[in-house]
Amino acid sequence: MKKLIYSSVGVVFLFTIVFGILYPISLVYMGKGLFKDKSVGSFIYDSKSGKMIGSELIGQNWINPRYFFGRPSINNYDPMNSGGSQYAPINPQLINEIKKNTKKYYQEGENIPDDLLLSSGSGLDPHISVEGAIFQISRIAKERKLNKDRIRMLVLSQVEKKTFGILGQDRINVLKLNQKLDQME
Amino acid sequence: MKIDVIILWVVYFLILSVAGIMLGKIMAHIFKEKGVALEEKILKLIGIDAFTAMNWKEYLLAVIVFNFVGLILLQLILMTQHWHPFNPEARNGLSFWMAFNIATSFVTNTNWQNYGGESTLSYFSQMLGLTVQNFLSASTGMAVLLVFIRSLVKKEITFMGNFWSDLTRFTVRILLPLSFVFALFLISQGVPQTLNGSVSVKTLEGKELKVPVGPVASQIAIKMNGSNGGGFFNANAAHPFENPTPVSNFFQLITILLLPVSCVFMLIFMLPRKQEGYPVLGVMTVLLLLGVVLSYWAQVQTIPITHMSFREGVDSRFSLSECSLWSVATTAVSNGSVNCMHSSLSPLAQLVALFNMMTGEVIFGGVGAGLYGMLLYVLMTVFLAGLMVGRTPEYLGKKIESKEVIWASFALLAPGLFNLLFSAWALNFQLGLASLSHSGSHGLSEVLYAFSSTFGNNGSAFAGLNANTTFYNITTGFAMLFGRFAVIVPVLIIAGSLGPKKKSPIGPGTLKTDTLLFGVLLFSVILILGALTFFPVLVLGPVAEHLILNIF
Repeated sequence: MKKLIYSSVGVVFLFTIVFGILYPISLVYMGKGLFKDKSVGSFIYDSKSGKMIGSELIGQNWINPRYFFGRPSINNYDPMNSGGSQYAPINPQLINEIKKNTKKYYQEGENIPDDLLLSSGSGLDPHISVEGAIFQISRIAKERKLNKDRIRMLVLSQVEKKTFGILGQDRINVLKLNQKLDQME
Repeated sequence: MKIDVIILWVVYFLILSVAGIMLGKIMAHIFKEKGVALEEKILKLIGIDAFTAMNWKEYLLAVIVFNFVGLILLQLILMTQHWHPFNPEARNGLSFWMAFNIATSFVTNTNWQNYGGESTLSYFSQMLGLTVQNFLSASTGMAVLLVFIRSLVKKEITFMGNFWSDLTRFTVRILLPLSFVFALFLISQGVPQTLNGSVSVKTLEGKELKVPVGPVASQIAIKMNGSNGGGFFNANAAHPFENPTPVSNFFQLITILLLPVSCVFMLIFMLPRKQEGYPVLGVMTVLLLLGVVLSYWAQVQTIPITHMSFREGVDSRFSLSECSLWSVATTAVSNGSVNCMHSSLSPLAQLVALFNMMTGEVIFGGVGAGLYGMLLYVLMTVFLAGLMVGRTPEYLGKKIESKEVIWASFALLAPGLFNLLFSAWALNFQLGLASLSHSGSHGLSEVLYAFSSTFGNNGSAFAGLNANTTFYNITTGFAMLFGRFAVIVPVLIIAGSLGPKKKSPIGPGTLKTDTLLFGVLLFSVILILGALTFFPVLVLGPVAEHLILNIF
């Protein structure tokens, strides 16, 4: 029994060093060497000031109507508190939530795309659907006094296509789109 | 049905089969290898005997003591977080029961999460605590499976291998290289791997934002490979830092099933007659595919109440078919990671997920654990078939007698029975009900899902349930320990009893276990056992939800 306990402690200790320290730390350095920006969180910098304006992968809670809005998020895009609404399809709160989100777009017409009304799983979804972006063009054009067609061109240039035609969905990164929008003026 | 979904499935299962066959062959070779490997020499240096073969009792004792040491260490690490380095966010130590729940969760390969990683744990806990146990719990399952296979395949064997040798060979030669390469791939897709603390940014709208990062990729790689499923962040694989692109999503989907599928091929390569393994492979595949198709069909319907799609809880970069495929794969295998919120799935997709876990995680199942669970069903089927034709049941030439049948029934029935008892208890007890976020049928599903997930060592959740309460920390903690060891102990007892038996030659009276008929029998036993235990409660949960939804 003594031998057994010694062996168990020994193996746990050995593996803690290998898998708890050597494995992750060597990956930190390899990641830094090979994929510098991605390994630290894919942050985006402002082209003028050079300051960080967010991560390409982490959605933000856009509230200024001059910017494209992201999808609803149950935790208002708090990166420290990721997660979805967990509403079951029969939950009445889901319907209330949808009604609340509809109000946000009431001036912009009918047939709001689903993804602008339904919250994401991570609560940090950095993307919206292409329809979701096109739907918001008229508001942006009005707020910024820009030509609709120019914005439409910009939106379409920002579409990230399905990978290999089968993986994922066509989508648009809201932060990148809004950054481009600012640069347009 | 859309053509791109069919292509996705075909490509997915094709890659999986080819990789599974290759890896299965490599694994069979690694464990057959005689002589002293480098790993064993290193263990010898610190005075650990990794050469002498153990009998089943010594092996079982080693498994239990080893897991117990891991449990204590993890518990201590979690409770004393504030003393450790690699803690840029200055996280505090966790309370005893919260730490107990996390420790049992990771040691039993469940990876049920009662915490949000980004707001609770230090990098030290994530790396030296959780990542290490992710490796070791997967290897433990593998080691137990190896003993079971040896006891079935070899004749008159009492000493069935050395636990330290099996454990180390699998961890070092399979898990480590797979995870290392996969982690690098994940970094290339955008999964962070850094020791820096969270990053403060000022958004274009002028708001301050604190973005958590950390050594994510190294943990996600083993989380997927080792059928663990415990994420770095609260939202698990739905989080854009854990699963940033459709490509990372696809390869994570593959790694969910990769090692469990390889285990089955390893069995096939270890058997003297390969075709004996085909019914097992076939039944697992059919059960998996049925789930995939049903879940997909349910998930692409329109919700009758809102006339919208089932997009609540699904991020924009994933399609609904990838969400349903993941939910089936992750519950069939005891992985338990999620790329969309299971609580918001369509009711029939919820049903598939629940049923997968309720079979005891045998549809490929966890690394090692799934196959030894399935072999218990095989013994049960052989016994039942033997009763029908009135002969002594035999499997692979080994006589199945009352001892084996008693322990197999215990391992197959006890977790299910306790699952129902615990769910009933929680639903009749204020402390249990207080955590629910839904009333009615979905509230029942929340509790049932929690206990099915923990007794099945899966780890996924209907996260509406607030599981970080003392009541749930203790009950689900017990559930995870019971669900793990109430199967491991019987498996090793059965191995100890089967091993020394003679192998009887195949005669005209032998029940053939390599036929389609046997596959159908095995399939029926799994369905009937699952249905008899859980049908009533499934009707009250997801089935009722489905019917309510369609009244509108």
